[in-house]
Amino acid sequence: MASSSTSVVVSNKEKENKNTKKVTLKSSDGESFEVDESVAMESQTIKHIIEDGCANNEIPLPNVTSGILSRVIEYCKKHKEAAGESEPSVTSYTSNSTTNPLTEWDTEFVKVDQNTLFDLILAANYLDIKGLLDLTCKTVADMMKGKTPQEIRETFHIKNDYTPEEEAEVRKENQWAFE
Amino acid sequence: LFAPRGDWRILLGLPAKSVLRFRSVCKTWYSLISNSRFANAYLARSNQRPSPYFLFGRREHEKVCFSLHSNPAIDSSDFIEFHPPYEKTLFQIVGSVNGLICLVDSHGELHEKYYLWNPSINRTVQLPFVRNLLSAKCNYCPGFGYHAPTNEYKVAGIMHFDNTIGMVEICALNVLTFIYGKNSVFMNGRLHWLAQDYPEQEDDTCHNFILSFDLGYEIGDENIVYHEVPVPKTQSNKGKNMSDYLPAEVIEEILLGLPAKSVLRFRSVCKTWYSLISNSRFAKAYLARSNERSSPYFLFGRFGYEKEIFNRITGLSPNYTSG
Repeated sequence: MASSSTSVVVSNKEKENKNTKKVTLKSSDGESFEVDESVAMESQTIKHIIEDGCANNEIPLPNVTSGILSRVIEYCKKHKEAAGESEPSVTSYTSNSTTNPLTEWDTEFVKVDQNTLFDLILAANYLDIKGLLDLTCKTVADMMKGKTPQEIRETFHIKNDYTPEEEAEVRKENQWAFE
Repeated sequence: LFAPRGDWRILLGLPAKSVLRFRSVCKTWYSLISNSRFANAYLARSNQRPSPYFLFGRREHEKVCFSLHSNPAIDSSDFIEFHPPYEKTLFQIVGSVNGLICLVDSHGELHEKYYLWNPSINRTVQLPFVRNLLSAKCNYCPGFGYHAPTNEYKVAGIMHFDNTIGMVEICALNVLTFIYGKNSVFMNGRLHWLAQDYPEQEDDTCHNFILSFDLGYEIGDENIVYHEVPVPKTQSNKGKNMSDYLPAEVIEEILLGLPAKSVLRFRSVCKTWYSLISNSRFAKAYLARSNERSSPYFLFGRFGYEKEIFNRITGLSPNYTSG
């Protein structure tokens, strides 16, 4: 997952939907979502299922609830659209270009409560959607910057399993990191 | 046979001692009577009776004797005497609620041991109360109360030092949590503290609330009533443990995006993170990630396998000297 990915748009996408293939995704709580196959294939996991011919009518996603799946689909649609509207070009998800029109949209997209954010991360990981995984992980990383370990524990409800002595040892190892 | 469901209300009319004794009739009765719902119903029934009682503690030489008076003003001879749970202890009454009496062992200045005593069934429980954290001299005033919304009995103590903030300590019997108060604010005749209790279980988070006491209480007052004002729930309430919820590869992914100083610091968050970050595989991944960035680094080699990897990655400035 550490390698960078690029998505190459070869042709301009037709705005009309009549000829586009659809696929149905089913969430863990039984809700069905019909989406364009090309949107669904933003997920490498789904892409492999389709390409392996295992899709049939519905693709069950037992690890994703409907609430999260609808958001993920929203993300994929938006990013697929944006990629389609640009000139035939190479869109790199690792680019830090500030002229990326999706940056603002992405920022708004991740303004959710912490539990939803974690669920989005898990979904992006399971569905192998690099852009979404990068976005959500970066969001969490930004929340962590500048915090002390205790603040990290409090924000993310992590149990401290160090004894005070053990913790003092670890802090001593890299004293300068705590300044 | 006695059907517990319909007829258990008969038990509510019996004296407490009998009810307790009947727990050994059979297992069904045992669980019925031991149930807190039954206890609450029993209490509610007792509270319907009109007679209030006055409890006096009387010290004779080195012993304490308690007497229960129905109306001392009118008839001072109508009382029953009973002895405290432990003969040798010099007890003081902290307060009484619902027939439970809170006693403190008042030997010496520091109140070390608190007890909860139910004289009608002669059961005593010592409270796990950590006492008086500071040995400094202070006015300490304990109180005993009952918090109906959470069905908890609480012993509270206010400590006032000379001209500093007062401190509150509370021990709740049911949940054995310990509450610390700080940052007091005085408003409308009451003192308020921002307090926090410790989570009951591992998954729970600390719960914040505002605790307030009326300043009208004097030292030596018993039955101090306090109020809890809930504060708006922050996002951190009911949160999931990130370290348990997210798989290791995801946490790694997140950490790879952080500045080196943060990453090293976060080794002391928990042991899982320590081994994750200290792993050479992580170090290599971090290095690979950093190499994608364009900024130059200064590389230093240093003793120790672990430290060497990290110091290569972090690109310490030439001014750094080892600790």
